[in-house]
Amino acid sequence: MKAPPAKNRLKLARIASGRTQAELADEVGAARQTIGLIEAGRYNPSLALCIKLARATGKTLDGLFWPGGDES
Amino acid sequence: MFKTINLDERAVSSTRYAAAIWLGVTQVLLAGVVFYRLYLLGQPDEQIRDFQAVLAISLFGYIGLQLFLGGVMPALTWRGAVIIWAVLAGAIAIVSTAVHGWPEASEWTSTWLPGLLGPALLVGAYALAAWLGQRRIERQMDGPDAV
Repeated sequence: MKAPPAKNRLKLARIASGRTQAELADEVGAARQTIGLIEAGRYNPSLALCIKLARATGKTLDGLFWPGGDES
Repeated sequence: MFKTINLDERAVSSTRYAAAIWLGVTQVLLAGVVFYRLYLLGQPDEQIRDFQAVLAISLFGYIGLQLFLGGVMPALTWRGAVIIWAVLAGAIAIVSTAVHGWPEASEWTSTWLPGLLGPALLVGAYALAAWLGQRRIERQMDGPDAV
């Protein structure tokens, strides 16, 4: 499957996991707005937050954030 | 009733950004007050000492804290510190003598002393902040939590 044009695949992973932005935000201790900005490619999260997001969505860091990274 | 607000890294970052910008604005405004009172109102130096002190503490505190937290500025050797001090003190002495003439020996507390001690304090404070900052980073890198 071709990678989406967005800078990361967080939105796809979140929707696939059946969560809203607010639910994912609460789970990783972030604000809903922060999740929205990350999904829009408008904010670069810290590595610590990237790892929390990857764990929460069950994806790898590559799968979420690396352009053309694995889709696992 | 009340929704929990997650103050995350982005909120902390924007708070720091806002604080840094408004610290700069405050310092510029404070400097403006000092110049306005000195040169437009013609108030004597003694009447604005408090403003000058607050401005100096704010500026040097900010720069010192940045040096310390950054930990990347080069620490000075004794030789380097003495050379920088000599250059600064020499420059102050040349300019001051050119403007005000050679000072009277009896006025050394208001001429030679600040001219020599001021640069020494500046260089010493820089050297201390840079050295402490480097030591802090080195300790973090080699500390028990390092991986």
